[in-house]
Amino acid sequence: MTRHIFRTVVAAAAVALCAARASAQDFKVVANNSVAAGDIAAADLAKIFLKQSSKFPDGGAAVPVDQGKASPARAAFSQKVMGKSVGAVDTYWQQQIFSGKDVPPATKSSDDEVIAFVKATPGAIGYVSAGAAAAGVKVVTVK
Amino acid sequence: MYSRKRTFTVFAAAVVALCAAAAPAAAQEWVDRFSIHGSISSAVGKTDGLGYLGINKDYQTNLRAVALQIGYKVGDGDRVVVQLLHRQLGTSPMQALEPSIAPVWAFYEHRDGDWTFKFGRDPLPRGLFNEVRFIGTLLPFYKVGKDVYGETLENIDGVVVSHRSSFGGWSIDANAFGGGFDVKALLPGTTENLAYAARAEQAYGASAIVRTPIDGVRFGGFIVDYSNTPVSASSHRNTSWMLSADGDWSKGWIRGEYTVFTPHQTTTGNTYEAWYGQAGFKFSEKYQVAVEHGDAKFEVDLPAPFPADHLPFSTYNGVAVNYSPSSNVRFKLEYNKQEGYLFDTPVPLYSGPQSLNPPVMGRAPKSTTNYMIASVAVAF
Repeated sequence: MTRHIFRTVVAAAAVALCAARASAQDFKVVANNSVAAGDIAAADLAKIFLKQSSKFPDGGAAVPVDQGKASPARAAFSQKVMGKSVGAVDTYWQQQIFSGKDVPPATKSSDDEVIAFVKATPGAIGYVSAGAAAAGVKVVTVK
Repeated sequence: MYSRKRTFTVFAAAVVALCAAAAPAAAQEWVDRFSIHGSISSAVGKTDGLGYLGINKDYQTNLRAVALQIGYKVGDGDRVVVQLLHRQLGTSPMQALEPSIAPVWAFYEHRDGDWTFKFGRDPLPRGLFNEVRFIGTLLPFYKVGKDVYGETLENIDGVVVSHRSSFGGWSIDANAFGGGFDVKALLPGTTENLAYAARAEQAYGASAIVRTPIDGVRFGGFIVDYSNTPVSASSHRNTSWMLSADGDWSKGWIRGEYTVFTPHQTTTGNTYEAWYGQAGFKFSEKYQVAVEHGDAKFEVDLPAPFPADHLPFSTYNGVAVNYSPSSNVRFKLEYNKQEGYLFDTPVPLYSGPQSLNPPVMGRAPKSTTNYMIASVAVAF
């Protein structure tokens, strides 16, 4: 009986761990075809999405686009790339907005809208669900 | 009257600039270029004695700060921003100086790489909280560092030039500014305390916030030199400076700020100095508890032969519990104990001469009030 409970707990923990790992990787970064880089460091990507840098490391102008706060892709992106929860990033933006410094990147409500925006906007960079089709844009690897 | 006229002029100029900038754009693009953000902070408070911060022995519900910010992106590096503010200060004498709606910001911003230029009525980068002092979702108490920030240096009519630089793990946000600003303060009187308003002009200053390689740790400084109006050859200059330090981590924070106002004038200084320290613990993203302690002193001129006295007019301790169901909503319950010589109604400052040789004026015992505030803040 005890062994059965132990096995169940271990199995549940393993499932939870796998789910968490899947969640943490459940996005891919997409960029306009004009963006030269095929990969980008997470720290550089975070600076672009926090508008602490307006350029890619190679000097090209960057136009970040976010997803809605409830988006699973945004939760995964915020945690993995910025090292913060969506709420913590939102607090950062409140400070920026009400200090008169800046406003957050444009927000799109679905993967399709992000893809359409990135495809049409030179220098645009965004993220979509890992399984989303990325036709007409380039997928950028996060280092 | 003059202030109201200037406020209207600033607001009208901002609206005209917004419309003119927006006119050529196509309809959808025009809408996309707008940003609208707001914040509401509303409170109920009660003291057990003397009135303070507009709160009295009756349950005071007329405590509010509502901010509405409208921005329009003119181009890639240019935008126009207007922020309107409505405040209700309960029974505070300072309410007399507060317009129904004030355009606290109305500026044109041009950005070029790491440089930013703001023209108009600009947010003033002073300390940790100056620009967000009314944004309740960002503050653990209804009012933060009240004796340090006071009711002045909220913005500046003029120019602010900012530059961001990074090297290694360090980054610096540096600012230089010039222009004029409103000065507001509560002054002790014999029958009633007075809400004092003046205008500072020919103000020049600089500030910087340095982020260190240690995650969450930053410090900064601010200095401004200005003349009280009307400006004349005999007008003295005044200096104010401020030091700030902040450590903010996932489980808690500790911070402190210290400020001094020094008039460079005749015999005595009437120097004002204040500081606060604050610490907090985050149980989770939703729950946190904060404590704050602050002190302020004012150099009071006394009749001859008594020397000026550094009256410790404010000492306080506060504790607050915060609940944030999301980053856009924060509920706060706080308890504060306030001691000193400056409340919403007059209290005795001096008890009379203690000795004549040497001349010493005796201070009256400090007055005290305890107050509680329950507040809710929402931002979008």
